[in-house]
Amino acid sequence: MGSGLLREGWDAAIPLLELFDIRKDFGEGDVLRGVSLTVEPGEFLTLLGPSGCGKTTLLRVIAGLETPEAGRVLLEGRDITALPPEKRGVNTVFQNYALFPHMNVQRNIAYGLRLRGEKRAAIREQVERMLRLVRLEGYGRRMPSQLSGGQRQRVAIARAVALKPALLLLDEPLGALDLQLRRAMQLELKRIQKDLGVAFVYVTHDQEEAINMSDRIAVMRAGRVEQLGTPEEIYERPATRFAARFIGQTNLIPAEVVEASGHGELTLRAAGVTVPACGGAAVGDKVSVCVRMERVRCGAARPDGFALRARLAETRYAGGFLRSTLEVEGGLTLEAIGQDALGSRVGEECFVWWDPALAPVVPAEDAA
Amino acid sequence: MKPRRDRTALLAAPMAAWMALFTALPLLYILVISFLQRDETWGVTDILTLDNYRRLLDPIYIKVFTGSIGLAARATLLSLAVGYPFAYAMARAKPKRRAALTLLVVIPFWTSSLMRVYGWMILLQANGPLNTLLLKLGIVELPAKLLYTQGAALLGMVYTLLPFMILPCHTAIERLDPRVTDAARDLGASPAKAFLTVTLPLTMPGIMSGCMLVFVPTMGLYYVYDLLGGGKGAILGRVIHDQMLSARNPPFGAALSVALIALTGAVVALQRRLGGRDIGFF
Repeated sequence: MGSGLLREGWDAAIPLLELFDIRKDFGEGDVLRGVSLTVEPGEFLTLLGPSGCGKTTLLRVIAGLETPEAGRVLLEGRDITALPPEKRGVNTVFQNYALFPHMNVQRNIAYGLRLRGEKRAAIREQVERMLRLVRLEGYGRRMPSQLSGGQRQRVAIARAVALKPALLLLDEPLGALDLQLRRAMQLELKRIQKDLGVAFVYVTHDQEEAINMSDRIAVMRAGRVEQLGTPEEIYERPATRFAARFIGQTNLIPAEVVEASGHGELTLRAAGVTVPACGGAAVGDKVSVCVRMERVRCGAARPDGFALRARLAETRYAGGFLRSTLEVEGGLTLEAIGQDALGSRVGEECFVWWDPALAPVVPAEDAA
Repeated sequence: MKPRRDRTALLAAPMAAWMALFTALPLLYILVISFLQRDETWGVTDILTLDNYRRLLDPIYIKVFTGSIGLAARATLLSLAVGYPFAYAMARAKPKRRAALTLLVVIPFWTSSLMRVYGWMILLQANGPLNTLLLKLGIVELPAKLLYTQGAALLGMVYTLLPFMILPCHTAIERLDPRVTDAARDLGASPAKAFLTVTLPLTMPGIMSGCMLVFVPTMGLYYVYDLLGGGKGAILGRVIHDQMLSARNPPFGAALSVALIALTGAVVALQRRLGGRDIGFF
């Protein structure tokens, strides 16, 4: 996680950014209801959630563009909660870029450096370096209106990192780009982040973006961090139904725990069938079993161990893979995705199973 | 393609005809008679002369011009000083408050501006409500002379023309993405610096149109000037009116008019110059 080089000379005990119980209420539903998290130097942290979950507001609180009603923001151990944005040493790449339309690319990038009162030659050198970094050499004299969306994006990044912040905030920076460009820019952003060793707090609602780029993801819902962890942790051990659904494609089977081994092995009763799963739950708990669609196995022959009788109801081509609907005994419906067709034909009886160790349970109801 | 374009041009035809008939033609008429000599009793003779223009250089009329420009400039700056912050508050307000503020700007248009100026006269007169209040509060011992002063005239001009400053400024500010200002702050600009380097240049087109819409009419709004300023000193509109209707000297009135049009034309040209330079990138 993060670059080791940059951490040298750091007091390892002090994270780069710490948020304590940040609260904000606009009176219009867009709220923060007590958010705490930390960002390590050089880390790529993503705030992931649907629109209105408060992720952009949280970013603006870190930038100093919104004042929280409660809570503290610490940067390198220093309380910056009350500091205005210009005194924070944190820079932002805004949604839709927010370039200065009356300045050319050079002057956009030089804006912060000029305010700092740096020498002309130093500014020119830094601007050139930034143009090289974002691969826009020769575009210095263009006006923002003469650039494509992807190029504007690069200018916005160059402008924000020109001041060499320890922390860069990015608000859905790829949201306005088409899919292909977005994929290319994901790699590009990751490269820039590694090159500069700067920590990113990255806001997106795109789970694929979050998984591809992040060291850690904070899944946000309704003004709270629902789960904070590495992409793998969130994928393998979602904390809530919401987190399970927001990342990856998943079957959530409502069930009740009937047996718990104490080693995380569970036996559950769901819709008239008995299924195995894993996770921490007690007998009698109402839970949902989270079975990732690509982990649903299906075949004509009954395997050893756990399996359910099912009928393959439908198979659809879903671009590079197939998605199947399985009607399971007891009235359950499962979705499965895979590279190849399942071992059965549509309408045929088959068996369905999964690896219980890869099927965690989450609480049946998400907190409001 | 061509026939279609011709047909859309037809949509503009009635207005074009109207403008030609009632604006261009009379202006041409004014221009022509400004070069003619006045007749003994009424109207003009057919003798060509430059005397009317020569007379403009008379110190009296030079003073009228500088006085009018001075008043217009003061009215414009004052309108800008009051109107821009108001327009800013309006553009950045939440929808409900914005609607209320917009209403405040528009309501004055519901009654005649002449009536509203009479209202000001009542407010400002020696035994009017404002003086009564000042006396009661002991701020003055004798009723202050508020009406028939240059200050009252200026107040009337600003009052009458303020909406024409606010509306274009509002449009420009509203069109400005607030994140652009946020970006300036984020990159290290203090609020004042962000305003000067980003908000101001990007809303300059609105400021310029607002200034135009206040500056130009000020020269002609002589009834406001007469009623509140007591007709002391002369502004261009008043002098043109007098020359045309009282002094019965249409050629000289016409020459003054041509000079006024040239002056406002110059201001418009200047605005185009300034406005087009740094800011035409929307």
